[in-house]
This record gives sequence, structure tokens and C-alpha cells, in this order.
Amino acid sequence: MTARHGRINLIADKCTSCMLCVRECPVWCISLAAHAETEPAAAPGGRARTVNVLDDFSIDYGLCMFCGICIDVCPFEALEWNAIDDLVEVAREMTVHDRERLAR
Amino acid sequence: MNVSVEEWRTSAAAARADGGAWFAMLTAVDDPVAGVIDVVLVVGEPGTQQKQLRCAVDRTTPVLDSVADLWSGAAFAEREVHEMFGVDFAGNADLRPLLLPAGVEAPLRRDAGLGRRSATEWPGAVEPSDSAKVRRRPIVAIGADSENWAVEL
Amino acid sequence: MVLRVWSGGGRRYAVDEMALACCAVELAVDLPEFVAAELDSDVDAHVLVVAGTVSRAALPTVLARYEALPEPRHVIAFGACATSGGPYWDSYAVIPGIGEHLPVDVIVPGCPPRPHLLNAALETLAGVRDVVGSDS
Repeated sequence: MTARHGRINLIADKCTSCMLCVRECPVWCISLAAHAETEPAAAPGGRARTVNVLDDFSIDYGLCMFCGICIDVCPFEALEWNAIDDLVEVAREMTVHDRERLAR
Repeated sequence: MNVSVEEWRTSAAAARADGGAWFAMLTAVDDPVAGVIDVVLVVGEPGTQQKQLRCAVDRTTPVLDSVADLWSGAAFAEREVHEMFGVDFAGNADLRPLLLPAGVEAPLRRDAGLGRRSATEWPGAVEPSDSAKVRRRPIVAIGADSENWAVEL
Repeated sequence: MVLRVWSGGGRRYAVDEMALACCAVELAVDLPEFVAAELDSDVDAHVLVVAGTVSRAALPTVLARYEALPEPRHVIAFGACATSGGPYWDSYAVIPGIGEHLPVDVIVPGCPPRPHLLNAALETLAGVRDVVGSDS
């Protein structure tokens, strides 16, 4: 199946806030905010772990050049192409799509 | 072939006499590590044995003799190298800028920063959370592999 | 003025395509589902579509093309470069989006956006503004 460069979707459940997409984006159009939470030990005698939990994620489609580097670099496949090709906005602020608008 | 600043004109004239009457290109390569700007001259028709002369000029005060009297086409190229790299060509009376607006200097030098990008906070500079983490080597933005990348234009 | 008649939401609009770079190549499409084959005589464009990177040198031309449009006039920023400077937003030679200089009514993200998005943009524009056009 060929991925069509329509829009980009975020599958938030798969995102670990590793920041790779944010760092590799050539135009710096991705922003991410997360906070740390402690997960208790998985088994008795184990260690509690610190994990990052995603708060905010946004792509500024006004800057995005649809290169797909973010999708390619994500180790957790939390970003994917959505072939629906329908982006039209009436204000520059509205080209920034937050987590809700980026959900499938 | 590499020539010194002093040999530049005589070498160019020799190249012209030796089948190099056709001016192909005059350009420059900035080498901040070596502290020089390499000015590159290519003459001779494509398809024939072209001649390439390279001259390393000092980066802080880059001056080279003009060869515009040998090839009239070189005048325009020297103007462009002057505009984009800041190299002065002694003997070329017309080194007016071609494209750049006032206030933009030698943007093809490797330490010419991308003003707007360096003024913008890189979203990737933030650690995902403020948990105390062992810092590995600091993560650097793409294209920011030298200390001077953020020089203001 | 590069006058072409694009459809949008069932109506047709004469637009002035300010062709600057690759986005203009997308608009050069000549298929009837996007662009009307026939141009009505004496039609005025009221919409400027800025398609491509706005370099500093090109800016006066873009502004003059906008000034030449009769009122009511509108601007569509077509593609990332016209919206924000796109991949060149950090360049000394590029204006980071025509919105710094002109009132942009509709933005079409993309690099480049496909032609059908200009039809969609015109439909959106007609939904928020009174756009002068011809009925098809």
C-alpha cells in the first residue's frame, strides 16, 4: 500500500514522548510537551520506573512540508499518513493542529 | 591546480593562452577550518580539457587580483563571489551587489547564520519532561554542528 | 495578471494566479474538474492566489498585483511557502509568509497542495466572504 501524503495522524497511545520527530523535523513544525510519571514495579521486588506521558502534541501545517521524516523516524509508529487530502484553513493560527485534530 | 595569490594572474593568463580562452566559471568555497576561501576558476570549453585554478585567500581579508580583463565574463562572476563571500577583487571597478538587500553580508560563508532560525527556540531542545535524567551529550538542532551557526545576520 | 477561472462549491471564480514557484506548477493543471476551459469575456479577478515562495525581490510585484485587483478582493495563500515561508522560513531572501504584508483570507497547507485544494479553498472563501464570481 502506498502511503499518500495527505495529512499526518498521531496515535497518542503509541507515543512515548521520545521527541525524535520533534528533533528531526527540518522545519521545526512539531511541538511536544510531556510530564513524568512513576510507574510502580511490575513485579514484587522490582523497581519503579519513570515514564513520560504525552500532554500536548501539535504540528503546524503552515510550515509542514509533508516530507514524512517524522513518520519514518518514529520508533513506535505513532505517526502515520492519512491519505485524506483536505487541509484548508481560514487563519494562520488554525494551521496548528493539536492532538485532537491530529487523531485519526 | 593550486596557485598562490601572487601567481594568480600569471597562471590565469597562461591558462588563457593555453586553450583557455572560454570562461566557464569563477566561484568560491569557504573553508573556515583552514582559515581560507578557495577561489576556483575554470576555463576552456566543455568537452575539451578544461583548466581549473584554485587559490586560497585569507579569510579575514580576502583579496585577489581580478581577471576580468582576461575574460570579460569573469567580471560578473567576481561580482557574485564578492557579494556572496566577501572576496575583494583588486582591479574590478564594479563590485556592486547583484541580489542581496542592504544588511545581508556574505551569506554563503559557512559561519553566516540563519538569522530567523537562530532567533527561534528549537522545539527539540526541550527534554520531554523535567524528570531528573542523566544528561548525555547535549542534543543539537539539525545544521547546528558548529559553534557559529547561530550568528545573527 | 494570470487569469484563470476555477470552480468552487458549484460556482466559478476568476482568480489571478501569482505564480512564484512549484505550487504554481500544481495550479498549471488544465483539467475541467478544476479549471473552466472557457474564459468569459470582460471578467475581473477578485481573488489573488499566491502560489510559491515569496522572495524579498518578488514582494513588490506581489503587492502590486493585489493592488490591481478591484474590490472586493481576497487573498489565498497556496502552499507552505506562501503561508509561512515553508522550508525557507529562515532564509534572508524569503518573506516568511505573505500574511505579513497582505490580508490572507484562506490558507492551503501543502508542499505543494494538490490542485483540488484550490477548489476547496474557493468554496471555503465563499463561505466566509462575499466573493465576486460567475454562476455556472
